[in-house]
Amino acid sequence: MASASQASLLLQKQLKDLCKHPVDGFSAGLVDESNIFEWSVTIIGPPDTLYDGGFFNAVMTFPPDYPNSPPTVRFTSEIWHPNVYPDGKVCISILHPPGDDPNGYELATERWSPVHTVESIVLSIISMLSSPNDESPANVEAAKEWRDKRDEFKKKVGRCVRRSQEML
Amino acid sequence: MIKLQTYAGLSLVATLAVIYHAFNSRGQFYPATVYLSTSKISLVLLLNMGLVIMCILWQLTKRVFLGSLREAEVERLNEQSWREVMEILFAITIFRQDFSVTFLAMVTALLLIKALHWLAQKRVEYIETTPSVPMLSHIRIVSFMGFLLILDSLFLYSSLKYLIQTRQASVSLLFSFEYMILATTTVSTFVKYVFYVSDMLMEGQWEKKAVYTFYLELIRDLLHLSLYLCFFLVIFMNYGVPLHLIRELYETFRNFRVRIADYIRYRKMTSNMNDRFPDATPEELDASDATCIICREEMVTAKKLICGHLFHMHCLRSWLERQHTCPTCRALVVPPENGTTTAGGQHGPRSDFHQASTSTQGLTGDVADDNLNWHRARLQAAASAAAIYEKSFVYPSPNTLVWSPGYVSLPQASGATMNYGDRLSGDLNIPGSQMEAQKKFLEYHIEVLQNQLQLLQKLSKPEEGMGMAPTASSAGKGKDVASSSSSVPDSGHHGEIEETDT
Repeated sequence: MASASQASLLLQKQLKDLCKHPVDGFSAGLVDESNIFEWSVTIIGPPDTLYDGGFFNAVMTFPPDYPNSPPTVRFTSEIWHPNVYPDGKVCISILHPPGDDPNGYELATERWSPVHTVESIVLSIISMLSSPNDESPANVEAAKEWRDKRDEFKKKVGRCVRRSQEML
Repeated sequence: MIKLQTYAGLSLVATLAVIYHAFNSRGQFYPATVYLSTSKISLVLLLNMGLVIMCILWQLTKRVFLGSLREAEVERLNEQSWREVMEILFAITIFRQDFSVTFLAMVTALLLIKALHWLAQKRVEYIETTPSVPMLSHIRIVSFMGFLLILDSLFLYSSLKYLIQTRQASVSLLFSFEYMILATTTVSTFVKYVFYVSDMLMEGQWEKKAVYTFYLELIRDLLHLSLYLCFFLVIFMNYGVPLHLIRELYETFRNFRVRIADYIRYRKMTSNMNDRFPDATPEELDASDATCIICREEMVTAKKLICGHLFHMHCLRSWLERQHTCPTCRALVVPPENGTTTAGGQHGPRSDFHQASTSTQGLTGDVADDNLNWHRARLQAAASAAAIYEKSFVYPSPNTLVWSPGYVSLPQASGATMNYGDRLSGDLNIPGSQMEAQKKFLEYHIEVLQNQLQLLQKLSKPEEGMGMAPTASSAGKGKDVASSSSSVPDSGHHGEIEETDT
């Protein structure tokens, strides 16, 4: 077991892999070089979506028992999306720990599994950006806008994208 | 903490002014103190000063032992303090006949001390996850926990003494109980920390750590549960229903129950893991790329699940502590009852999934509709994945190819796809050339289906509602295709590309 060290070995390996073979669509590194459990990720808004052209920063925090428990991901850039809490926390089912579903609408099969890596998580987030799920929204207001007032939604997202470009 | 400073300064000025006024107008010491303790304004100001002093002391301890707080700690503090304040207010209503200045002071002290405990717990968690912690932090946290324990026992001792002296139910009950809980929590946090340090000293090779941690938490929960129950009963007999306790009592009870259930399941699963799951043969190891998907390390020996996936024994064990599904394909890891891996064992989990998917499929029309829905969801997922990941196209290793049993047991799926799925999930350790062939086949499949979809869309414009809301299970199946064609993980939100394009 030796969970903490296993987790850090695994994360170090992933970091090395990502440095050697960067994946298009995002870049990843550590927030603080001494702490392998906190990653800083910059996600490039996927092309042909509302988020196209944006550079969104997020922090991934891994638990000591990774990969048995999922990390949490929080956008530090401002982002308007039905599945992102107003404080930036990303709400997608693969980041929810296995076991009983607190909200009762996710199948166990959609939840965390230890095969997920930083890469697969970030790719999921990118696909979340391109196709929001308004059935179980984290940001209810954004979900409502996305469903009923698409223009308003687009405007807000556009503002976020511009702001993220200015921050560069 | 500029705010606290200005506030403290203002309070100090106000208090001094009131005291000066009292002595100036009354002249003598005794009447001045009488005035100070009877006049409402001066009383409020004095109490306020007391609060400020306590807050400053709290800040000081925090500064000395913890330094500046991290974001997660601040978050926890904010989150928990509101809940705690609410509960304390409930508690105050129970003990309203004891209401006095000392009572208020004790309650405030209790809240502040509790906050310190949360911070200590968070800090220990943080230290456990950080690889290189400076010696100073270790010293700080140990002395902090010692300090907290001393505080707890001091308060516990004084309130117990008071209880024994008066032999009467009073608010001391609340305090002795709270400090008992706090003290046990501190001790368990400390023991956890000791576990961590010894694990560090053994360079992370302490296999039994998780087991001990589990027992520690079990004992702590049991202790808390019994304490809560005792307190609940005592309050109930003396005062009435303790509203403030119900949430915590319930929470502890549920935690405990979950823990026990997990433990029993885990014991069942791992007690004879060696016999339960067969060792992978060297050929099987060679056929896969011999990497454990959990820790991404090479496997020399491995255990095989009934779905055919291979893992390190210890990786598998730590995952099974949490959930009893295959990490790769999420098939249930129900070991065959008779101990042999037969076809019967393979069908067990599949039929489960079958039921699950039929039930979620629910009432959506007849066979054709289902098929249409299913194809559409698959296509959407595949297309959206392809659109996004055009550039970052990563081929999955054979190990990561996900064919969940759900895919196989899709209700009313056409015979051909059934067979195809079966074949795939049957032999997962296929060599690379076959992989390529299958990929091509899949891509072809997608193309054909895409054409079909276009046709269908032309034909069935009015049935738009169906495609918009693919049921959970059909979307799940669609995602399997997506993940195999571009290693996109199934993220559980449904690919509705039509809508994003608008």
